[in-house]
Amino acid sequence: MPSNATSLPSGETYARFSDGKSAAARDTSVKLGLTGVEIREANSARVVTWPYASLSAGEPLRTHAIDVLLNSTAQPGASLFVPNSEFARALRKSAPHLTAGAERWRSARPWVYGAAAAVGLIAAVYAAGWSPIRSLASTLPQTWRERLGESAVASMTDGYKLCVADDGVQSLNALSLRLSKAAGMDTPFKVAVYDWPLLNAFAVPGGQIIMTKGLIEKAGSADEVAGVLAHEMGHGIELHPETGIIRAIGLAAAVELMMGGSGGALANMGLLLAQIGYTRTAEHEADIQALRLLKQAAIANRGLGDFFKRVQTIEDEDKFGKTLKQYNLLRTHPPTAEREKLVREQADYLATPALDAQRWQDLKGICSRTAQPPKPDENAKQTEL
Amino acid sequence: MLITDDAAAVREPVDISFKGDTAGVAGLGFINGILKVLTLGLYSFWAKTEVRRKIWGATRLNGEPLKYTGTGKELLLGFLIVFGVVVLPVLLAGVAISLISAGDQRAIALFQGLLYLAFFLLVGNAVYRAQRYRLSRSEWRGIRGALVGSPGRYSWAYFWTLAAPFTVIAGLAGVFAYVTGPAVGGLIMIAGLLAILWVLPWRANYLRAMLTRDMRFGDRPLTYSGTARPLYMSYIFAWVGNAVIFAAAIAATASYVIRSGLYEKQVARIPPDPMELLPIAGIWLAAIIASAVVTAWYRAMQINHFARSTHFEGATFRADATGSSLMWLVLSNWVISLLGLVAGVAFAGALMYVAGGLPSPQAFQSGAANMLAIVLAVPPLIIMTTLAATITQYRGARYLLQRLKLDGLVNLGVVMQSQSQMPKRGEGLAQVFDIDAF
Repeated sequence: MPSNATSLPSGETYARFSDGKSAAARDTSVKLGLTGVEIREANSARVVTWPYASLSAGEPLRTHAIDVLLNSTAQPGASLFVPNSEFARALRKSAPHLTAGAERWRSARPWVYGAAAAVGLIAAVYAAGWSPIRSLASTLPQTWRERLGESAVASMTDGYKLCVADDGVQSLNALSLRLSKAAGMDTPFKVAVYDWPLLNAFAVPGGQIIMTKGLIEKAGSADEVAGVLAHEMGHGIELHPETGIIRAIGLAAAVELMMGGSGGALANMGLLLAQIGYTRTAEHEADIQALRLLKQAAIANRGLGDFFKRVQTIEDEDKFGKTLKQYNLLRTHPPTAEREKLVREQADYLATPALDAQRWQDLKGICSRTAQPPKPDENAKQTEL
Repeated sequence: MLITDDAAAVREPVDISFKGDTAGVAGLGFINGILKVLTLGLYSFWAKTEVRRKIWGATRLNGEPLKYTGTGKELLLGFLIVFGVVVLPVLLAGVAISLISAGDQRAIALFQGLLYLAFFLLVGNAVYRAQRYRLSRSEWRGIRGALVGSPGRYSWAYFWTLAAPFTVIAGLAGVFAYVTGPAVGGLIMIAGLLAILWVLPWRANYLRAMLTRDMRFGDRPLTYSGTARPLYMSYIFAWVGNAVIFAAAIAATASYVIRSGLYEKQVARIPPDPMELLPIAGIWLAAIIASAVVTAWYRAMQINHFARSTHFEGATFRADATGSSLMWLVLSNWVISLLGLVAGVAFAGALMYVAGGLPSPQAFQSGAANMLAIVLAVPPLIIMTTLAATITQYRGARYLLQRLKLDGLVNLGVVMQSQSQMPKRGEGLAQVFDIDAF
């Protein structure tokens, strides 16, 4: 095809021109002029100029381009193919807007401005202390919250049995009632212990709290359990579980959006990781609520401190836990030592043990009898009755 | 205007070639990965467009490149619309269902069943629309491609060609289960599902014919003349081969489960040690690789069959794909994807190690490692997998285009610009279903 190239006048390069009306093409020669690409039909003196600013290229012009396909707004529909690497490289200088970098920036510019505006808006909302998710959470009706809570409990405790030893359940209810009263709740929190070795406790929507056998076993006193319970109630009062679920739904939508709708395993992993645990601020708020509840209920807050100390020891045994201390800002939980200090700084007040010795023993034995947890729909029926 | 006289009415050969630049593609994949990370994934629409421009630009007819004229913005808009109309309502409906049913597994299963059915109905639509968008954004010498039929018609064909035989089999199995007991019904269902696989070559040819006959280059149609019969010879080999491979894999798994004591553990509800499950993963990995190998021959024959059944202006396409070359493409692309993943995990691990140690499972459970893990692990993973995916996609396109020929002469001067309307937005639905050709 470029055999004609040899017979071209100096400075001109062989090219193929198509008018965009049919799929036929014809031989032309081109050269880089002062203001644009000059196109001369083969064996003709007539020259048409495509101004540099009017050009667009099939692919961004890279330094190693071997040829170039051009279009021009000066002649809509027409295209010009120049199979010459030197021409393509020289064109980079004359029409720098055709390079990959320039193209990227052109398409990125509105997004950069948009992102800056969004960041500004978020910062303003944050600075004003308004949490839209929290506001949305507070509008959820109580029945919705309870149902959300039931499905959360059902999926979290799947495969674990409920601890139902009578004396233990009575002790737990007594403790829950004492703290719920202190919180000024009309209906006390529903607390349940599951036969689960993990050391953990969760607040779920609708004023429900799940504790594990591992936690009851590792706790040194009833005051420690009361501390943890007050902390989880704090989460409940602050609507953190509801907020968390709304945030998770929003996050799932955002991840789908970001991953182009095909949010695969990677996206789900990220989502899962992002969902675990509350924010540092939320933990701090729950701690403050816990201290208030304990004081109101006349239970010593030392238990909460002791429990943090226990968690600290477990964390210290974990290598990554240690190294994480260098990344305070990245952590979702406030450092345990900081939380323990918060408890120690509180003024003393008159307190009685959270449970007497007998009841504490009963609570420790709550998992001596276990049962299958009721199915969520059975729960619903019971509520109706 | 420059050109005014009539195009010469000469019939000429059209030579298809692929003039690629593999190093450039790797560089593009790498930059796209970085930009995806920096934009939290939003750049993926532009990344896709950039890769297509590269592949289209490398595809040459008589030495002149194809041009891809789609934009990232069109893809984003198309996606946002489908996101608002399909994804978000489904997500919210899922939440509402679990809320209303309070975690009742039957209600959730019913919802998911209906969802799969709806998705299956939509997949054909997505395939057609994506193809239509891509063709409308493909140009050669300024002449556009087009797909002029109805997505609904194709979508319905896509659905019933599989749903109809399935309904017949399920109905038969149901009747026998009712009359003679569940064992016979079950057997008929399994045999029926194996038999349904024999529909696939016919279905592939039927759908291909439908799609090809709707295709235009400029104002000229492509035609399709193939029947499914030639596909069945190679399909017998693939079907028998796969049946033997998967039967062997099932037998090997069952034998291992019984001999290693995993079965007793399952009965006693003792969770198995992950290391004990490794041989099972090995068996199935080997089965999947063996299946890809025996299927490659059929797929190569299918590519060749589709090509020689497709005609344009009196010329006929020809592809010379072979089982061995396709097998090599599939296996080497797997290796590249795996290397990308391994490199991503290795870089992520190295970053975390430099940051002060690898996280323990407890650290993840306590939530302490969340942010750190996301900040450190996700970027290298995304960059390396994007790089690998770009290379494999490019290799797939190169494989096909290097083997595709057009036999016969075409009068290009009579092929005029397409007058069909161009879709305004990109292939949103196809992205949601992750259907992507190049």
